[in-house]
Amino acid sequence: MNRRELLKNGFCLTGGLWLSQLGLAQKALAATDNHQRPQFLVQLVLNNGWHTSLSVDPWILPQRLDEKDAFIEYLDNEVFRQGEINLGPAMASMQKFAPQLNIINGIFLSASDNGHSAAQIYSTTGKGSGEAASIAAEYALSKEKSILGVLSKGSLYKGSSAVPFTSVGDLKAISTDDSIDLEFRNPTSVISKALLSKRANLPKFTAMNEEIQKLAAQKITLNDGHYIAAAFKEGLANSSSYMVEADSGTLDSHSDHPGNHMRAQKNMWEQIANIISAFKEVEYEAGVSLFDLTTFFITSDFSRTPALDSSKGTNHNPLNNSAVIIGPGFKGNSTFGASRVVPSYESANGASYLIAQMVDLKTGEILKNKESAKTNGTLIRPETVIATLADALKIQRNIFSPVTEEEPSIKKLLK
Amino acid sequence: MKSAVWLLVLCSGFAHAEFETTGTRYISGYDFQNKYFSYFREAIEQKIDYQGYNELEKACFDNTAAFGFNVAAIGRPESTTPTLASVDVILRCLRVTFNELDRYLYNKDLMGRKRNLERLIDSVILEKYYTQQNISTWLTSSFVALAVEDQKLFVATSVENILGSDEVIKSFGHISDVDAYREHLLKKLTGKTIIGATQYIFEQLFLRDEFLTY
Repeated sequence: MNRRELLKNGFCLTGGLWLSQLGLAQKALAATDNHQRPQFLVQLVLNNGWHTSLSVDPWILPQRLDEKDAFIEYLDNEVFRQGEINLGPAMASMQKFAPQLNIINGIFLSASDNGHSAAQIYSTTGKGSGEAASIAAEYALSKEKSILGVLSKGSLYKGSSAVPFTSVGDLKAISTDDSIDLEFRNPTSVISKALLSKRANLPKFTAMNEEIQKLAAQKITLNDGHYIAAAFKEGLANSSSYMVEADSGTLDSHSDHPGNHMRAQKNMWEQIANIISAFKEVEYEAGVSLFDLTTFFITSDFSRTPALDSSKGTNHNPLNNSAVIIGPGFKGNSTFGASRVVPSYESANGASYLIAQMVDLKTGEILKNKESAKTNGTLIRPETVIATLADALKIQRNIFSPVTEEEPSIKKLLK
Repeated sequence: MKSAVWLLVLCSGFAHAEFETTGTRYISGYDFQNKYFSYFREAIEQKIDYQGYNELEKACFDNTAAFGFNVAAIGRPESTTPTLASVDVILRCLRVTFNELDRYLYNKDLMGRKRNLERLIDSVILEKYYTQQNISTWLTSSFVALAVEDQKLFVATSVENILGSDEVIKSFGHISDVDAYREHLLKKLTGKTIIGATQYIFEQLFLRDEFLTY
């Protein structure tokens, strides 16, 4: 090596090192930036069990089954298709989120029907035993204790944990009043602590109310999402558990399913779309909205049997469920897993049902062949979904009770 | 050192359960509601008027969980002790109650007005100052216009009606000098109307451990 080569190699080496250090520094800066911005979680549950074919898992095959095996109350052209996403007509209001949607179909809950409550708890906790709290509560517990705890609508499942919470209704009516006298009180009493906490955090409550007033001044129609997002922004909470109920009717359509379930589910998705849109309208900082910092996890108790019974109703189908996730840690426009209709002639009780299919967790391939399913197949369960959420939210598994460190997550959905 | 670290770990783990470990038994949602409305029974039973009752229902009954009522889905109260939400709900409920009570006092029958006031204001003071005709002006007149003895009686009766006798109050251990507390409250009523002073007293006393515990 002559002097020229030495200088050249030396320059390359030092220049390369410098450039690599610059790259590392940029990465470090980006990491700091992300680290400084908080991450939030909103868990939305469509109460009472959804007919997944109307929304997250629509019928997309060219050949339809006999109506006694699968009742499909829409035409093929009513299914919205964009990239990997297929949405049934009940989910029309969610089409605008197609680039961010991550759909997990074919989630297996149990072989027998354990009722709404048990299925909902399993779907939102990833633990069938009931001891773990819902992911919304567990996320709150994994973070520094917030002032308002979990913002909840409907019941918040807390398992065996004591999880602080505030109802969304209370959040909307929270006052910035500070007229209660703190003198002649025992500062260690629960009431005194609550009053002191209110006083100490009055600027945050005031800022939250001002954020709401600012949105109202922009003639934005306010919904619960705006209040939750504003509370997140001010650091009053970092997770929400929101039970979605239809304005009229119910998803639990054991009779008169046609039209009625569709109407109820459509209404629920409209509520969900409004809540998610609200997060886009609350700015965290210039160019960053609360939507950019929030993971939305949407599920229901279980799917419903695909065909109508003698009462023109559909029944609980715990052999299959679905989940929808939108969040900064997820790739978006992705569908993972699948369900299959087991026709009535193959069914032991003579009624068709939906069942989760085996999947290759690494590639996402649906394994229809028994041999490959046996060797490479995994049945997606709620714990797989919760593990995926935990990884996206960077929750340390060793301090996270719902799923073990060994539980695999769906890496293919993660960024 | 090792044991100190373990102690820290153990204590932080129990932080969430601090309410259960205080040993203070807070009244149940059902008892709270009964206790609360015993002061406003007449107004509630008359249901004020439709709009008024709706307002009251929204403020006081919408969030039964914050009052400590059982949540059907889990078969127990969400929290066994009052939370920040409970404090806020109680305060809001009182404000709406007084607002609606005010309307009731002006709009319904004259005897009803007096019956409502008897749970809120000392009866001796009522007898002395109250006439059916002067109710509106009297309630909105200045508290300090009352004779000094009557001001003291007003506070003393309210404290006894809501928190209990001096012995009972002292037994809770939060107030050691009840006379000083009454003096303290009295000073805060300067500049308020009679009804404003009544509402202030209710807000301060209803949000005390002595009122909210057994």
